[in-house]
Amino acid sequence: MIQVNKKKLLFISLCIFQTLFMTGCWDRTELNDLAIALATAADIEEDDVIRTTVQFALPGKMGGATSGGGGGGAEDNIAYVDSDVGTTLREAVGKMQRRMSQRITFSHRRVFIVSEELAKKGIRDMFDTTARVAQNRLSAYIIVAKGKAYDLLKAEPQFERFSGENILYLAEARGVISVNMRQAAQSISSFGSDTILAYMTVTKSQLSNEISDEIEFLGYAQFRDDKMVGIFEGEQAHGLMWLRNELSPYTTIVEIKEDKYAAINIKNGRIQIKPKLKEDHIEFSIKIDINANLVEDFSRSDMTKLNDKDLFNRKLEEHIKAAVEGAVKVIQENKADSANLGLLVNRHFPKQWEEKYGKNWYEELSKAKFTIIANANITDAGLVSENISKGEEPE
Amino acid sequence: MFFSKSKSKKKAKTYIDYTFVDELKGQPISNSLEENKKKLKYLFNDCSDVSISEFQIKNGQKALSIIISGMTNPELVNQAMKAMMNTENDASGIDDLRNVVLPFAQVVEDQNLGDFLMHILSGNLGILVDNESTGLAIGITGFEMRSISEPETESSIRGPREGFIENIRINTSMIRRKIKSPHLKTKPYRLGRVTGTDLAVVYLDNLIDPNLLKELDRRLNMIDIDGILESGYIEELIQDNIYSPFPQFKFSERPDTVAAALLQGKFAIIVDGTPDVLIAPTVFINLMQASEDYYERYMIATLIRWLRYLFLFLALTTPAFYIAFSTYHQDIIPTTLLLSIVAAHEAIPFPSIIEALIMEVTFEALREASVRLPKTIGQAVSILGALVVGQAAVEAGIVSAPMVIVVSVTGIASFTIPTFNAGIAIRLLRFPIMFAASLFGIFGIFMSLLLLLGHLANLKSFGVPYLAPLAPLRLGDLKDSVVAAPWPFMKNRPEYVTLQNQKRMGNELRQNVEKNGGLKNNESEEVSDPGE
Repeated sequence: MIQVNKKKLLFISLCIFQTLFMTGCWDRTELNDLAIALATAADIEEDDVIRTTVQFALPGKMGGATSGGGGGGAEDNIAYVDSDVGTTLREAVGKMQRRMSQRITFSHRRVFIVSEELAKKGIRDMFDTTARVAQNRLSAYIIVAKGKAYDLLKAEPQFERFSGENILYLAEARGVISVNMRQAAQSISSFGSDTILAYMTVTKSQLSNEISDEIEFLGYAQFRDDKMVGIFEGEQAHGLMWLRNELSPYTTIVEIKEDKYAAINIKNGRIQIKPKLKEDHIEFSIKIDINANLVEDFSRSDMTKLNDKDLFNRKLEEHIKAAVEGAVKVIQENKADSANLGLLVNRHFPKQWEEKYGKNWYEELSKAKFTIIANANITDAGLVSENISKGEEPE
Repeated sequence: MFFSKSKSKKKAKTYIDYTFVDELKGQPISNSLEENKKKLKYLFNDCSDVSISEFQIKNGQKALSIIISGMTNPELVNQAMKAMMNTENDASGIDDLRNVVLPFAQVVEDQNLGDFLMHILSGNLGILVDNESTGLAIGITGFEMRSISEPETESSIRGPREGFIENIRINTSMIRRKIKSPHLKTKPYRLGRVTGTDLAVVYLDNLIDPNLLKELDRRLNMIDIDGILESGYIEELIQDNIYSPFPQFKFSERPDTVAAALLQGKFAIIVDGTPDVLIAPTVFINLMQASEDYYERYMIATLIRWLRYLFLFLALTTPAFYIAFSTYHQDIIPTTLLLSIVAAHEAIPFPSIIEALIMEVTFEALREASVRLPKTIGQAVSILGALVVGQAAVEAGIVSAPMVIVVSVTGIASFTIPTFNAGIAIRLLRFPIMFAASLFGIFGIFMSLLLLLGHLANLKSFGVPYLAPLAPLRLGDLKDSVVAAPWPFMKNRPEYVTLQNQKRMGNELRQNVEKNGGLKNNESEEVSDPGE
């Protein structure tokens, strides 16, 4: 047995015990003292002053303890929006904090909105505080607003309690390429790729009893470096999804016969992009396999018939091809590599990239040629092969 | 000084000076009946329940009978007296009485006063005969006792319904009925200077490690206490570590649980006067096993075991985690959940730790109250508890609804621990962990859990590491700790207990089961599958 001096032991254990109180964990905050920020928006105003708008949750108005279980005395206005200006985002937040009894916490912010105007001037500064402060979530989605960013926060959509939540679910929805702050920063910082961000706006609901402000997903804002240069809308957005190989199921309308349309759901697909170096340009040969099912058909075709089925497949191929071409057109016109094609060339031909293409990539991109081969297969026509109200044809 | 000295000199002794009945063993029984009678009257002065009466045996010899009323079977006493007084044989002296006259199997000759008294005090009929220095103790004990009933603290759906009672002989017989083997030993001890409580150390001598027995014998012989009223006395007197909240003995009221432990090479200590039998060596895993695990189908038993482990963790940490999350780590609660917790917490005047303490302490008090109260009132208490502490407290805005849920979950969780003494250990440890959580958040919880783990790893029960078979790891034992394997696969006894013989069952059955996935009779010609 080792002889232990009891006094020494006591002294040592006291020292160890003291270190417990130096861990910096004394930031105990009661729940009641938190102002929970759900979404923030950044706009640019005159003289390059940045207006920061924050949407807070007011859970106290949600109908908590005192109202009892069944009552549900929830009030409508549980979101609270405040805004201020400053040379940096934090300055504005600091100004807001001065008029708030509760401490603002950004750890639950899942949505960050920048206005189109700000996006066009460059969004690099917006990433700084997010990564610097541990509380902030890099997994927050970054959105570009058509018009003013704070309008999106002020909207009161019907389905969610907070417009921030609404925007979040839209950004995460099927058929949308969701880009969070980490991905965006990564994409902006690396060569051979440019970021795209979801592009949203506020629209009025139609024919509702009380017309409400709803938030709508429009497409993607196209960036070159950190500056917004263009927009992918409609089918261009779908085409971009193919090009980036980030396909998630979406439904599209295809013209089958003249003025006869069908709704087709793209279930999954595969895209192969192969760059080939030609003398004065790069050629991308793109091969697309599409797997789809029929959702609605106004052309009154019979999907059991091979002819009809072939027609559908061919029309769908053309449609997808057009969509991809549309996206390519936006990329080439705006000279922004939204589909990460530069990265592809760099991986296939690292040496040539280093010597020739890397330096002048946007010019090369704008004169690149694209050949697209699409191969569609509608595997599933639904529970019926044709319209059930269609009369039987005499044989 | 002088005064007191002279006073003590004068004062005559009014009692025979002894501290333990055993000390009278030195005093022989006198030849003279008169002297014996005087001595006994002296010893049992003012004992209204002792009846000492003189009588004559048939041949005219004087004799003395001593009984304690209520402890002997009156009918058998009458039979014995009749036999002695009406004997037709020419019986004379103790030897004849014993060999010829008395129609009882359990007759013991005592040569000294100590043994003789002890027998009488245990409910035997004592007979002294004139001119004989030997006393007879006739084992016709018969007193009222509780009948065998289902153990209320350890009820089960499947399995025997009988439980131990307060009588040591009935208890040993219940084990003997399960294990009909001369290997089953019930080694007697008598402890307690004043109470002279009977103990029996029960074990299977072909399994148990002799060193374990030697150590137990050493510890038991060191006990020098005036009284032992319950097995808890023994537990605390001979356990390895007093400064631990964890029990190093399992106690059970079920003969099947005890028999199963004996078959694993453990020993049990039965204490007269209590139905709770101690089992050791006990490891932590044992406290999480219920007898039903071995009777029910093994898949369900395994799942239920996992459920118990999960809820063990919950019982220990749920309030602590709630406190830590709501005061330090709001960042990692899902947003929607956070909003509802904040909403519920909006009007609450107390910080989370105070809120948790109010609720937990009240809950413990409620439970204590319902244990102490008569059953009829107990129900009223639980209604009071549910309404006042639960609903009303929430409606009054004193505690938040999530906290009520947390406390209820913790309460339910602590009831899933199958052994009571492990359950109270966990209940107790919940509080320091709550404090650690309120001071240091999750960091505090994990530091305290680490400390706890260190303590558990340090504990031993009769030389067996408390966390065995997990640490030190014994792979073979995992099938009866992490899972509950079906019986054909538990060929060997647990490894963590040192044994003389490891093998529990033969090979044939298991091989057959492994080959066919069960015992099937399709290879046998004589028996065909029923229904074919």
